[in-house]
Amino acid sequence: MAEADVYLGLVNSDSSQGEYYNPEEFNLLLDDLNETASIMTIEDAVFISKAAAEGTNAMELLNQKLDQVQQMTNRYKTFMTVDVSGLITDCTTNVQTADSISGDAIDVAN
Amino acid sequence: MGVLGNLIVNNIVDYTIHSFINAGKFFNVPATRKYFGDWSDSFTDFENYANEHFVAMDAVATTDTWMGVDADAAKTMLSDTETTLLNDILKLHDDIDSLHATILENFKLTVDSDPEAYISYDDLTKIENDFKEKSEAYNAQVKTVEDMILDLQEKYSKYGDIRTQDFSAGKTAFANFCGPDESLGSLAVEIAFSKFCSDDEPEGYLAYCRQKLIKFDNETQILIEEANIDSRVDDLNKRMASFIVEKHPEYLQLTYLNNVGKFVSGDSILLNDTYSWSLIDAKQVREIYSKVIKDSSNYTVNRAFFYGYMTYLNNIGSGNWSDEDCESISMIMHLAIKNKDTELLNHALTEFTYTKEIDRSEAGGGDNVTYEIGVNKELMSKVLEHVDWKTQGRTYSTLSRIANMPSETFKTAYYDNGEVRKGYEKPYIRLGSSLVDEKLKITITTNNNSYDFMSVNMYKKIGEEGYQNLKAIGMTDEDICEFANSVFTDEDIQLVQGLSQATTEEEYYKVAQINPEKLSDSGNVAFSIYGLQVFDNCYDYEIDSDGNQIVKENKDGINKLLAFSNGMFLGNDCTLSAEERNNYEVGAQCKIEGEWVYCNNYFKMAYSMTNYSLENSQTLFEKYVDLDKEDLEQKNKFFTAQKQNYDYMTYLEGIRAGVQIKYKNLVEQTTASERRKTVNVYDTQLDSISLYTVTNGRIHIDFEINNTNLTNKESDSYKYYAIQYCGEEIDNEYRKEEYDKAVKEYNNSITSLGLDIVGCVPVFGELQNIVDVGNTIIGIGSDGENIVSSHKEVEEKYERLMCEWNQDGISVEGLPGGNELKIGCYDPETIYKWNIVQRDGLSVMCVDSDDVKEVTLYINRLSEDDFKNFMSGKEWNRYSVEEKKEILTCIWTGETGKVSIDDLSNVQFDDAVKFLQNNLSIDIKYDNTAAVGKTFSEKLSNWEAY
Repeated sequence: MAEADVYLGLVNSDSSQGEYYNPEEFNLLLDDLNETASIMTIEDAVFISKAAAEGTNAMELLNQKLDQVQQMTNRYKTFMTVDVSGLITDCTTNVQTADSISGDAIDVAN
Repeated sequence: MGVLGNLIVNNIVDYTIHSFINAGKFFNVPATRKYFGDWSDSFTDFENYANEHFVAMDAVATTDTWMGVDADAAKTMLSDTETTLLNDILKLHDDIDSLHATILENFKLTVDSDPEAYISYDDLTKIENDFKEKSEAYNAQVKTVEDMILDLQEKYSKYGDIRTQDFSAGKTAFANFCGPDESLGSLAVEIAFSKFCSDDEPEGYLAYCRQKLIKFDNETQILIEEANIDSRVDDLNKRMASFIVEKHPEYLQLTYLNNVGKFVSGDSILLNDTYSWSLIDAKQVREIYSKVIKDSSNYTVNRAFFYGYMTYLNNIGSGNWSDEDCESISMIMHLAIKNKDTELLNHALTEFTYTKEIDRSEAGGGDNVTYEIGVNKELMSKVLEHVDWKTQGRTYSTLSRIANMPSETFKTAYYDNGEVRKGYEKPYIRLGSSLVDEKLKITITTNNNSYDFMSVNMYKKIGEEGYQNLKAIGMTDEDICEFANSVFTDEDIQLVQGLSQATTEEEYYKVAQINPEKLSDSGNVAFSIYGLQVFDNCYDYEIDSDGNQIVKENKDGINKLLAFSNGMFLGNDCTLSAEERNNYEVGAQCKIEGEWVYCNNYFKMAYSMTNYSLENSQTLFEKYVDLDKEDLEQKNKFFTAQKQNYDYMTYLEGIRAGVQIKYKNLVEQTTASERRKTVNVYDTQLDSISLYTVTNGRIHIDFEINNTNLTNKESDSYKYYAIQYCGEEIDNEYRKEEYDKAVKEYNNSITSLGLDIVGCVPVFGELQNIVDVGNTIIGIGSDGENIVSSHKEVEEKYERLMCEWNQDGISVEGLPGGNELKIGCYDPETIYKWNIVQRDGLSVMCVDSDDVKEVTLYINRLSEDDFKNFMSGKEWNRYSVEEKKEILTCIWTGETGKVSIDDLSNVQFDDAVKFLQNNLSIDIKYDNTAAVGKTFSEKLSNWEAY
């Protein structure tokens, strides 16, 4: 399984066979990952002084860019806490189900 | 300044002359500093959070609480990709911070250095206008005074000099401050205007201040654009978006729904753009079209969608197809086959062929290249996973038949410029469909061959009766699907159909009339699956009241096996001419007195396929040896599967030996007519089969064979013991010696009974002795060149012990009905035991771990005096006492020390084992349910390793 597959959510049972997984300890690490990501935002309060500074076309342009930067930056929080964590969870869930599937290989091979 | 900067400047300069554009502009240094400071604080906070997050990511990326292939991919994602992403976000923040500082610095340098500066275009204009009014008033008054002076000079200069007052200082001061007075004339306005428009020479101080603000504004815009914030934000967004869109498809849903219409017409407007699509786009399109297909029940209306979607999927390439895509393709293919839409089907099959370079060699300024061409079976199997073989039978079987096309090789040659040499052609394979009399025909054309076949529905071909017959021999629905769809040629279909419906010997005999040479590899596989299942259906293993595993015969199953064997293997071969039959010398694999022994090609198929399957299961076996000891379920699955192949092979070997022995007896006849009869072994018939288990749990097969052509024998009843499966060359001298020794011992045991060895028959391609023991004939090998373990991976020293210790090794065993030779054949359990002993040592048979430790301590306590009877002499000269103790420890526990057991000769190894066998004085508790015996040999033979 390539990293790109993880990106696309292409987790599958075959690739998980033979993996080692300790759910309790790993979930603690995953929780920590989510917790640290969940506070990574740029608050709207940063724009409170915007009006007093926006007196030129340049500042108007700059604020448009800053608005994009804020959105992109705040998207990272969702990206990590929902999407990346979700996919990692999918992978680990897959590990747990892989064992029950792997036994079928014998019958198939014969 | 870059191109972008120049463009912006040009556009900005165009309108800076218009005051209304700049109206309202201001720059407040304290307010801006505060605003930028807020951003800087936010960036700092974010960075602090990010540093904690880096630690958390690293913890996941380096954890050993989740390991494996997926884990590695996910960890790489965190440690590389996402770490880089977050670093890039922080870098952008840093750069924006620097940009803010640069903006303030530039203002300080180019507009006003006062840290509290505030400048407003409108205020400056207002002030300027005020002063302009004053200037105008001043100038008007100056003019009045000047006019008055001129008037006075004109009237009164004759009385004396009237001095002209110089008002230029005041005018200049006003002009410098607020610009020239426009009322002074058009020329003045023009000059002032041109100066005003100049960046370098604004007219008046106030205009100059305004101009500095405007210039600062313009230059700052350029600065901001040149920071490329847009593209960097876009890049970062894209790196997160594949996730975001997956979770929040509404972001792009509308965009791509608008493009659906372009597919409806089947054109390729959108398709031309697919190369520039991002993964986000691709996922979105897939989602939309998958929904369309799933929701669609009207083929006519939605046909264009299917075609368009298939075009899109072909365009992105099969390498990028997800499981969901394959499901969509299965639906498209089913609709195409169901509606006989060859255009759509051909379109859907576009990606299912391949041409692969498998060899290249330089040749005279170019290359000779060998290609493999065929149908992508793996890809097709992914599609077939989504097709129901019963309710969508025609689709399933037709696609299976396509996938079963045998791959081909094709050679071509190129000049050094890459062009194909004259007389050669490029490799090609074309896969398509057409309608013939309203029936769907598939055509596959390659450089070498052209295949035409009709679509087929194997579920209907085998019929309900056939389906139930197959169920009756123990096949699951999945087995039946695999068996029924292992077809490519028409003869394959006839074979599968015939086998599924046959129940009597006569019916099997009819099936055997299908020309076996016209079967494909798939037909061979189908026959193998079927034969193994018929054999396996004869017996079940059960545990008796003493806890021993026994074979329980299934009478219906045995009758089925008799009918199958007699009809398929021992009946007259297919309706080929005598010349054609000469190609069917299969079973014998050798000539006797210049004549080929005939046998049946279906037998050969069964034999070779089972052999192949056995070898495959051997590979699997090696994997399972290392499984956790507790994983008994997995091990049992493996052993069951391998034993089935193993026992079926034994059965087939027995038939072959039996048929050939009879032939040998017949060729002893003297007349030509009798000899001619001998050629026809197809009248041989199995009368009965009985099954039982021997001590190691292996199935043992006895059967009686009759041949109506036998005229010189009082009795036609023969009994054959199972002949162990072998078939490869003896690969070391020691085993050959052991084998030859055993054969000699066997022959002596026969002659000691007062019996004569009357001849030999071929088995395994070599000659074997035949011993006539009353009405019992036992075939054994006498040469041994072609006998070897079915498992080659056992280390030679352990293999040597395998021969000595295990009853499946070479030995002669006296049985009530005669003697039996076991010829170096290791069944699955034996091989498993040997691998375990090799890995964990002989102590693996111990029940009590304290005993293991105690023997280890015993070995540690050994002194030189203890090595007098064993492990002594010149062979051990180079080994110290400590090294000998390491060797013993290794053999006992499997733990290796400084001295490698690989350095030992076979003799030394045997010696070391015997040391342990003879010197362990402590009362060791071995597994008393199985590992019983005086010697390790006996213990290992009886030990149940799993």
